[in-house]
Amino acid sequence: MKVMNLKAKTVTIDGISALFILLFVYAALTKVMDYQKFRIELGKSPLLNSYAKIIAITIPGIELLISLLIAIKQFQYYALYLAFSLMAVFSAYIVAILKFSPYVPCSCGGILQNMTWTQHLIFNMFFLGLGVAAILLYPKRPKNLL
Amino acid sequence: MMFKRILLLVVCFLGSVFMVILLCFFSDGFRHNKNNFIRLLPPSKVTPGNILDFKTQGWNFAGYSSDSIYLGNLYTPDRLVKVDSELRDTLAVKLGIPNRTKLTKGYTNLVDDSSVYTLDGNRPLLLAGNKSNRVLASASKPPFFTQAIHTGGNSFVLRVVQAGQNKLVTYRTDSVGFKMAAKLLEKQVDGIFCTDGNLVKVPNSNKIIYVYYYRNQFICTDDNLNLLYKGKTIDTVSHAHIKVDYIKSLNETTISSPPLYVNKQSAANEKYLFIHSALIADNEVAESLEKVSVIDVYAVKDGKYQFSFYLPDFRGNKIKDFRVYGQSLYALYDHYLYKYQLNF
Repeated sequence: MKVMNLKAKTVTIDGISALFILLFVYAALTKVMDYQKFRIELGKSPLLNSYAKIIAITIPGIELLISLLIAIKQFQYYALYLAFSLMAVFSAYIVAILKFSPYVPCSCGGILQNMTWTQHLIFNMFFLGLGVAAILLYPKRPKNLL
Repeated sequence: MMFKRILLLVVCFLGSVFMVILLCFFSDGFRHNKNNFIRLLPPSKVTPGNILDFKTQGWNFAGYSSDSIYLGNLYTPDRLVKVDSELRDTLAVKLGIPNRTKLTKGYTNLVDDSSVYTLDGNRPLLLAGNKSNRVLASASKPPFFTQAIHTGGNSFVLRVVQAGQNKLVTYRTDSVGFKMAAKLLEKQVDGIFCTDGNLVKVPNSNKIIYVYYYRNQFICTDDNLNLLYKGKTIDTVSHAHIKVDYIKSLNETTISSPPLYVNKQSAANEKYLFIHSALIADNEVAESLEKVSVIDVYAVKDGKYQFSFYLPDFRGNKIKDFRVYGQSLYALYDHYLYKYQLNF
């Protein structure tokens, strides 16, 4: 990672962090604002129907928490791993729905609800890539364990 | 350092995938429970016949008369297509619909030996015409309805929503109007979704059959809606597995968990009731049902199960709807009409 100087790296990482915050805050707020609809939509998913209530609360919670952690400089590096993992969970869920579910439910309300499931998957892959880039570019700091 | 980071990313990724796999494992939707019933599948009950390609979408069955099938199209209310029973010739049939008639997407055409009808339960309106000149005029003002069949003369059976529940009523276009039947459809959950089903007329008889979508039951009545018998389909789902919820922001009531479909479309000829089943029997494997639709056959006279047969998918399409006229079964696959000969 000698190609970029420290400043360019920091700008890239902060840009990616801002994108993640934007995505998660937007996603969480649209879910919370119409919580009832979100919960019902989740209930229609063949994968989630038995846990719709718990998941409907925890998903926006986790999204907001990760956004907060990314925004705080000390936690940014580790929060990026969390963001990456959350996107991985979403992607794996979409693959499970597309490939193994007996039927494909209508896409969950809230974020980007006009996308098809395949478009959604590509969108998620893009964010997974951003997460990887940000983590690998992250400058080495003396305090850092890794 | 780079190596450690990549390793950590891989661990995060695998951990996430593992969580979703666990979720799959514990979810209801992916569990394939045994349904505790057996299907009889005798060989060669149906023989495939001709295929007709309409090339456009939106087709539905309108009726049958003197060896011809009539199909309506969602996008052309004033035009039916008449197809001969061997699916060789098609002929466009123009209907004279009164000017300024506004129809919703829920409209249907019905054709029988002497008459043509256009019905729209959302407006609501009922246009009737003679089959020879095909000029339709408003026959009367029916109540709002969600399904309709013609039972001969000026009589219909309609499914209406009254006091938040599905009800079957008889309706006559003359001064008699509609008559509510005594508690035919039995409420199990909410009265609308749980009683949803398919209204079927048995040809050349006064029998009517209503097949529930979400439970293993159908009812047979005469054309005055007097109950003749209650039939049971072969599976064991006696109670509708649906949950409904009200979404405030959209002001609508919706099904809030995936409903368990038991019976999809139904059709009848003089002797048999045909039900497109949604459930797998214990003597079937899921893979063998991927590219076929299962039709269960019941006797019209007492509702007893006879046997089942498969209708294969056509060019990747599952059957959308079907009708049985005499010894011929006509299935709609998207824009294909497929004829099968029944060997029983």
